[in-house]
Amino acid sequence: MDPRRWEEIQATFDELVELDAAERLGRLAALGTTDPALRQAVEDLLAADAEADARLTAVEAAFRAPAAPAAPPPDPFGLAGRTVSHFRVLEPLGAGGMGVVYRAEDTRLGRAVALKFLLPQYSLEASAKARFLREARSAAALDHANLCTIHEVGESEDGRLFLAMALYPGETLKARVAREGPLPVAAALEITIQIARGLACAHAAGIVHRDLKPGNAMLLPDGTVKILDFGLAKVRDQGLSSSGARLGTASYMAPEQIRGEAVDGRADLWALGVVLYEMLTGRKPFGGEHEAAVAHAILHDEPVRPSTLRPDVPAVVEELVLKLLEKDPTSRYAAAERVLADLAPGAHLAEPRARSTWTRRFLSSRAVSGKRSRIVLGTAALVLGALGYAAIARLNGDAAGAAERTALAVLPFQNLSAEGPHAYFAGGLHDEILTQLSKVAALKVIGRTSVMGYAGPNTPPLRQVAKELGVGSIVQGSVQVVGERLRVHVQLVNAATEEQLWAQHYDRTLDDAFAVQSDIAQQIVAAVGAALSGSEQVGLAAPPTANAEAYRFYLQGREYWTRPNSRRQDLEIAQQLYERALKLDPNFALARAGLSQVHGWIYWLGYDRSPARAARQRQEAEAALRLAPDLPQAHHAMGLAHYQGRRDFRRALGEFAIALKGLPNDAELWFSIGGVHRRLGNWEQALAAFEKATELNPRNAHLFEDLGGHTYSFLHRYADAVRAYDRALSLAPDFQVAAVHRGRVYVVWQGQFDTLRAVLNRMPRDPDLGPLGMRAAQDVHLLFWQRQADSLLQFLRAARIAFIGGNPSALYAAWAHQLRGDRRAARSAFDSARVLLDSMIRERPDDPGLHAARGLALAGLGRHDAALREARWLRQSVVYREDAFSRPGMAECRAKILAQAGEADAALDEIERLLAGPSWLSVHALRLDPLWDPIHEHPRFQRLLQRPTS
Amino acid sequence: MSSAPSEVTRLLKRWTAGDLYARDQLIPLVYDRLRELAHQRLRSAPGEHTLNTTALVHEAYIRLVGAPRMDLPDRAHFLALASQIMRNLLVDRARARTTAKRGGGKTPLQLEETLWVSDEDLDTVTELDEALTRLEALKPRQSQLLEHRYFGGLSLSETAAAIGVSLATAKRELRSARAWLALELTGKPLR
Repeated sequence: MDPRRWEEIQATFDELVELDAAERLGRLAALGTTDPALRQAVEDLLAADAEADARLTAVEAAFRAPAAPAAPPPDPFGLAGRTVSHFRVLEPLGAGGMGVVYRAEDTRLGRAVALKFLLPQYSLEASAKARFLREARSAAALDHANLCTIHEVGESEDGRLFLAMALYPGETLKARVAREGPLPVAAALEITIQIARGLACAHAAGIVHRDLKPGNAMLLPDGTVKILDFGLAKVRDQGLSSSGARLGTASYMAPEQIRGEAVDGRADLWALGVVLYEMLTGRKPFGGEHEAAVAHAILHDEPVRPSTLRPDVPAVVEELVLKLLEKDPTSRYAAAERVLADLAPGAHLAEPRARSTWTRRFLSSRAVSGKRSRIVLGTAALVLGALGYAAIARLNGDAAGAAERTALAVLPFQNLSAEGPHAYFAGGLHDEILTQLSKVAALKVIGRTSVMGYAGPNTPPLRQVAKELGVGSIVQGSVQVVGERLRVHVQLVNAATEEQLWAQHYDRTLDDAFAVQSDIAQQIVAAVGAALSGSEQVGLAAPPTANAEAYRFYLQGREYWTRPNSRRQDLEIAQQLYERALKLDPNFALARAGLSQVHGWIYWLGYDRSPARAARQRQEAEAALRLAPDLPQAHHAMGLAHYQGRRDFRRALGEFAIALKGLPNDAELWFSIGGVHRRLGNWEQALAAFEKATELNPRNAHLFEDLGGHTYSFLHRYADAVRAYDRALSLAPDFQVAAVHRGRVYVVWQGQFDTLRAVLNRMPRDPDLGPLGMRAAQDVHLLFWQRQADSLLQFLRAARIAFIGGNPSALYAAWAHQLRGDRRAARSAFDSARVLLDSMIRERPDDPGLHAARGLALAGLGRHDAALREARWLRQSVVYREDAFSRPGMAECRAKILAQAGEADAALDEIERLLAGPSWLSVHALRLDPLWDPIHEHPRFQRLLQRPTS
Repeated sequence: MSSAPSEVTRLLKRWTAGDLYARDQLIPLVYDRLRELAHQRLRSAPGEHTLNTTALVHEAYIRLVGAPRMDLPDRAHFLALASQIMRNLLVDRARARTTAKRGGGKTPLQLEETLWVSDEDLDTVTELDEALTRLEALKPRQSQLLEHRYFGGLSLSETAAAIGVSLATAKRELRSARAWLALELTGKPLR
C-alpha cells in the first residue's frame, strides 16, 4: 500500500465510521461497484475499529497506555476541597519555582487568602523546616504598603509547609511586560519607586529579598505595587544546597550573588536595576544562551545602554540604571533610600549630561574584523571556510605605491555627539556613504573593515594610511548631533600632497540625513573626477525612503549589522531596528534587504537553525525585490537566501551577478561570490573573486584566515597556510580562531602538537568560541589524536556538554574507551550516541554530519551493514554531489566508516583520491588519527605512510 | 550539560519555539534519565520485569522539568521526545533479549538491561515496533500518535500539541490508526 492509498482508505473510513449501520452498508455497497478493493479495506478497518479495544488488549496492557485521554492534573497536590489548618482550600491559582499557590478561605476570619504550599523538597529536613519558619515569620512581621502581607506561616497535618498571604487582584509585572513590552518611562519609574520603598523597609529590618524579579512584583488595579516572597529565597537556596540544584533564574542575580559571596540589600538594588532596565527596554540587560552564559555576562559584560535601545530614555534615568548595575557593590547605590532620593520629584528628567567612561568603554569594543561563517563539523577536519590563493601578493606586500585619485579611503567619522542615542549616527552615516560610493564603477573604494582601524588619535599620517591601503584620496569627517540638529564636516584630501580637494560643512536637521549623505557622495565623485553613468547618478540621488525616521532606524540597524564578530546579540538588535524602520515604511526595500541578510546570518552561523528563520530570510528578500526589482542589495540578499537557505549555488550566483552591476566595489558581495564559486568547485573564479575582495579589504583579518589559511590547508600547501594565518593574526592579535587553525596546520603538516596545545592553553576557559563550541572540539581532537584516553574521558566528564563540534560527546567517549580496551564501556557509549543520532536524524533526515556520525557509531557497535548503508547515503547525498568544498570532508568520514566496517580496499580508494586532490587529509593525519587503526597494517596504507609529507 | 530543571525548561522552550539544536541538547539528558529511572525501578522491584513506560516517561518529566505544571506545548514536546527515546531503548533491549535467549554469541548490552522487557512482552514490543515503522511509511503522523500513546502514555491533547494538530484531528487519526494496528497485529493487514 502506498501513502496515497492509505489516505483514501482513511478518508472513507473517517466518513463511514460516523454513520449508522444502515447508511454504512449503503455506502459500502456503492463503493463496491466502483472500487471493490477500497470497499474491502474500509470494511476490514471498520470491523477492526469495532473490536480495537479487545484486539489491542495485549499491547495496551503491556504499555499500560491510558484507556481514556487524561486531562492534565489541575491540582498537583490534590488539596482542592480539603481543609488545612483553618483554611479551606478552593482552587489552584498557579505554580512557581518553590510551590503551588491556591485560593483559600480563612474559616476563622471569613476572608479570602492565597495559600502557598512549598514543594515537598523544602519540607524534608527538620533543620530546613525550622529555618523556613523562622525566616518566613520575620518576613511576616514586616508591614509596608509595598510588601505583600503574610498572615500566617504554618505546617499542615501531613507536614507540608505553607504561607497564608493576602490575596491581591491584578497581574505580575512579568505578565505586564510580556503583554505590553517596554512601559512608558513615567510608569516604569513609578513602579521602581514603589519597589524601592518596599525594599527600604525590609532592608531596615535586616531582611534581603535575594530573588527580586518581575514575577515577584504584583501590580494592583489601583496602581499599588506589592513585592512577593520576601525572604523565601534564602531558605530555598540553603535548603537545596545539599543536592546542588539551584532553582530560579540567574538573570536577576547580582555578581556577588553568582560568585556565592555574602549578599546584602545591595543585591536587591542590582535586581531592581535589572527590573527597571527590562521595564524600559523590554529586554534583560544580560542575556545568554543558557544560564552559564547569563552568569558570565553578568560577571563580565557591560549592558547595552538603555538609550541605544530606546532613544527617549532620559540621561538621568540611564545613569540611575547603570549605577544600580555597577558590578562592584561598593560602587552601586548604598541603600534603597539613595535610589529614592534620586527619583524624587524634580530630581529626574534633568538636563542630559555628557557621558564619560561608559561611552568610552562602549565605543572601544575591539575584535577581529569580518562577518563570515565558521562551522566546525567534527571529525578531524571538516572545516568549511572561504577559499582563495591568488591573494598571495596581498599577503606578502603592500599595495602599489602610486595609487590614483579615484582609489578612495573614507576614514571613520569622528563622533562629536554628546548624547547617547546618536552615537550610532557617525557609524551609520559613514557606512552609508561607503555603500553609495561603492556603487560607482569608476571608483575603487576601500571596504569598511579595512578602514575601521584608522580612527582616533593613533591614526598614522595620511600619507602612510594611503600607502597601507593603496589609495590616492582620503575622506575624513566628523559628525555631531545636538538635539535635532545634524552637523557634518567632511573633507577630501589628496593623499600624496595632503592638499585639500574639497570640504564642506553641513548644518541641517536629522531628517535631512539622507540628503546630506547623498550630497557628500556626489561631491566626492565630482571632486576626484570620476565619470558617472546615468543610472549611477540616479542611484546617488534617489532617497531609499521618504520617511526620515525610518531612515534613522535603518542607519542605526546598519551600525549593529556591521559590528565585528557577528555576535548574536548585535544581529538581533539590528533585526529589531530594521523591523522598526519597516513598521514606519513597509515599502523601504533597502531595509527589507538588510533584514533578510540579518536573518540569513543568524541562520547560517547556527544561532537559530529553524526552518522558519531560513524562510524569513527568503521572504524578506522576495519582498525587497518586489518593491525594488533593480535594487542591487535586494539581489545580493536574494542570492544569499539561495546560498545559505537552500544551498542552491547556481541561482545564488545568478543573483550576485545582477547585484554586481549596481555594486561593483562592494567587498561583501565579492566575498559572497567567491564563496559560491568555491562551493561549485570553480577554484579559478573563486580565487579571482577573493583577490578582488582582499583588494577592497586589505586589512580584513578574516579574509586572510578564511581565504588564505583554510584554502592553503585544503590544498595541502601548509607553509602558505601558516603565512596567511600569521597575516590574519598580525592584523588582529586576538583572533583566536585563526591561532587555533594555525596550530592545526602544524598537526597535519608535521605531526607536531605543541603549537596547537600552546594556543589552547592560552585560550580563555569560556567554551563559547563559535556557536558549536570550537575550543572544546579542538581539545577533544587533540587528546584523541594523542591517544590520551584517560585525559579525554576526564575532559568529557568535566565539560558536560552534549555535543563536540556537532557530534555527540558519547561518540568520543566510546572511542576513548576503545583506546583503553574497555569494550563494554565503549559499547554502551556507542549505543548512547546511536540513540541520540537516530532521534536527531528523524528530525533532520538530510543532515550529512549526522549520518556520518551514525555510520561511525554503528560501525563501533559492530553493525557493519547498517554502517555501510550510511556510507552509501553520504555518497548519494545532495551535499556530497553538489558542494565541492564540503565533499572532501564527507568523503573522509565515509572512508572512516568503510575502514571501521571492514571494507579496507574501498576505504583506501577513497583515501588515495583525497590525498590527490583538495582535502583536509594528510599523511600525518593518516598516521595519527586512531580512526584509521583498523586498516593501519594494510600494505596499501603502509605505502601511503611512506609518501613525502609536504 | 546540567540537568537542573531550569536548564531543561529553557531548552524545552527554545525547542518549542522551533530551535532544533535545543532539541538535540535535550536528547542525551532524557536518554540518561530514562535509563537511570529504569534501573532504579528494576532494582527496587526485582520480580517486576515489565517496565511501565508511561510512568517512566512521566517521572522523567517531573525529575527533569521540575515544575508540576507547565504550558501544554512544552510539556507535550518533552513527553513526545521521551516516548520516542523510550521506544528506541525498549526495542533495542527486546532485540538484545531475543538474541540472548537464542544464545547468540555476543551480549551487546549489559545483562541487566535486557531485563527491561519480560519474556511474555518480547514479541509484543518487537511487533509493535515493526508495525509502527510500517505505518510511518504510510503516514508518519499516525505512527507518532501511536508511539506517543504506547511508549509515553501521552494524553490526546498532549499528543495533539506535540504533533501540531487540532484535538479533533488527533482523535480522528488515532481511531483509524488503532484500527489499522489491530489488523496488523492480528495478522490480517490491509492490502
